Amino acid sequence: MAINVLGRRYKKGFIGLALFSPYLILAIIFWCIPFVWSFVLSVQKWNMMSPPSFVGARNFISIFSDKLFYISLRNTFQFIAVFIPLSITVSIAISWMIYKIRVGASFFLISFLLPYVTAGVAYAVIFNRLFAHDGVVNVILRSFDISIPFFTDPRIAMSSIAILVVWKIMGYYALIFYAGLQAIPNSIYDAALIDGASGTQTFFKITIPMLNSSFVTILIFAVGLSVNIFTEPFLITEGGPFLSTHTFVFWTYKTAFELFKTGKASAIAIVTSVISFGLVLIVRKIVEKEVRV
Amino acid sequence: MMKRLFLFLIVVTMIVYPSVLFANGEKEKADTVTTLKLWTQPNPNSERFWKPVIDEFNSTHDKIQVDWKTIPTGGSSEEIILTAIATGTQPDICTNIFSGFLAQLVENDVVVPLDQEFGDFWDLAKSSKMENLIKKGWGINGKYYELPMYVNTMQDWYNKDLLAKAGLAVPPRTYSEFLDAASKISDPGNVFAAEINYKTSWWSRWFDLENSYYAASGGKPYIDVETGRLNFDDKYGKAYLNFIAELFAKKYAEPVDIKDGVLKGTVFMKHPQGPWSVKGANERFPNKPYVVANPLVPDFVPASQQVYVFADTKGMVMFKSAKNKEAAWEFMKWYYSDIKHIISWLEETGQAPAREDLMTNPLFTEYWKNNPEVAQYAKMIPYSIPPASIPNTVEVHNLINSELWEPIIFGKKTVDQALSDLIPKVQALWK
Repeated sequence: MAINVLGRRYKKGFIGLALFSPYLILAIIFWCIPFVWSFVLSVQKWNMMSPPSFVGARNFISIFSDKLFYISLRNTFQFIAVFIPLSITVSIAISWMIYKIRVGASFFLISFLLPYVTAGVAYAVIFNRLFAHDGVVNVILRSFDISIPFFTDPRIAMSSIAILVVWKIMGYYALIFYAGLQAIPNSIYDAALIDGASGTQTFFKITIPMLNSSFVTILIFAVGLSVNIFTEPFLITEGGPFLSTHTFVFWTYKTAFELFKTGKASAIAIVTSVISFGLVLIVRKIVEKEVRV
Repeated sequence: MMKRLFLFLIVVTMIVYPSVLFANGEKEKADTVTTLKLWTQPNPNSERFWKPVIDEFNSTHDKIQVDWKTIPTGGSSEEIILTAIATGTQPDICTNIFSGFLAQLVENDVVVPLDQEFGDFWDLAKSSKMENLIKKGWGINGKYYELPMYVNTMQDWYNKDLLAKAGLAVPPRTYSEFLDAASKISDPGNVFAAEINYKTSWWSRWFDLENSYYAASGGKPYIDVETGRLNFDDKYGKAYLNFIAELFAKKYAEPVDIKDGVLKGTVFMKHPQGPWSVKGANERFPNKPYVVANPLVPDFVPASQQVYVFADTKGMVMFKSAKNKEAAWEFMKWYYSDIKHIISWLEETGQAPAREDLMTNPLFTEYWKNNPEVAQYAKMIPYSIPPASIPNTVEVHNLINSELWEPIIFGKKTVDQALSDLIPKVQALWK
């Protein structure tokens, strides 16, 4: 009897492992090995051609003595300052609108999700043309005697990129908020209505607090995206003007594939991960709250 | 039981036997045929050129076959080639190698010194009319690792209508002449006198700053390759940089992206433009609303002084990892020995082949007659200077961008300030 139970357990475990193994194998190949390899590389000097040599912590030290570290950090926070409030406001507005409309919700959600599934390269190239000096947006603006150098003025280039990324991501974040909204029981709204709460009060006192887990999820995603922003600065502004869109991943890329300093590039990647992880921890500490219905 | 065993044996035989046969066939083929991996410049025109060339080679050579593809997509050819070297997947032969990158490859001992390895290297150079060209600027430490493929000189483009509006029959020669014309046609925000590349890809300064420095100085090197001392603080460099500063200060140029401005008539001069743009421009604007001219020079440069220009030069190298170097050399010789290939390259890509007889060989005459814009570029080949062979090309150019080019364009520093910040930083790279 006991052997039978044990055998069944093993069988179940084996099936579970078999089902899980494709993901596990992919994770080992594309995540674990590169992760360990980047640590190994980060303490070496290697230009991809000659044999690597051990340099200890020198790559990490050189990061903190490089002005590009502080510029990338500044730019990342500038991006966060525009991207996170804007993306959350827009996406919550979209999800609220769809939640209230009810009819055709799937259609609207899919419409807003389309930019998210569009290839980053394609939309970066298109937006670069749209917002160029002779692009459609500035041609229209010039009829009102306005011309905005969206990507060529160092003061606003990073914010322009942030707005562009908001456009891309808002549908995805709205979907998460929409799921959160649907999880809020109607009985709470009914009780609030009986108590005489206004629409605004209901939104800020019930809806927003009840969406806490959605907020935490989105903030974690948003912080990760902000620290790792690359495609747009790389394709639209090339990190300029005046390094105003120079980001950590852009720096990693340039160090690895232009200067061929793969050891230092790995060290930058590790430091970037630590910054990202640290910010996620802070976000969770500040925002995450237990919500009980 | 026996029936099952019999069936099992049949199935095994059906699977194993053809596999063994196939494997043997492949092995036999592999023993007798050398397959060369060739990577070429990744652009549609070049691709159109190479396909029939490789088909021709493969159909006429039984013992050597070329497995050709363009350099895989990436940020730059250099990045992809290095990644391939790191993973041991590099080709046997590769085109699109510029001299600065070649210096890095040589430093790391991954390319074959062709003149040392093959006794008939100079015979090929001579018969392909490349001998003097190669000797002039393609060597590294007295050895020759590369066969030149093409030389793209740099020129400026002017819009014909705006030229007429400025009252000029031909493009201006000096900075003052240009500024005078600019004051007549400039309409800030709508019509720009000049389109200057404000972006900071590391190679961008080859085409404007260094090109114009050569034009002004009569071909003087912009850097001392032994000490890393930049020469931009001499009268030629300062004259050009002050000219650029003035263009931006007077709003004759702005740091903006403009598409086809010189072709559409919203830009007077595009500074500079490579020959690879000619074909596309002529297809989209068949009335050819532009003229090609030499870079501007300072007022103190006499009209009699020869103008030199920068040349984006690329060549073909052989990697030391090539298993059959003789076969690889055989292919290289075959390619360069037949002038048909060279003419076809010019026709398909519009990029001038690296030959000394381009303007004198009658075989090219027809092409120049039909393509006078490309001819203007080709005329400058004898007066062109390839990129300086320094291993830290990227670092030097990143510094030029951040310390000199951007501060001047955005009016953050004077030319003198920018130069005094830049020069010691570049020299420090040599220490």
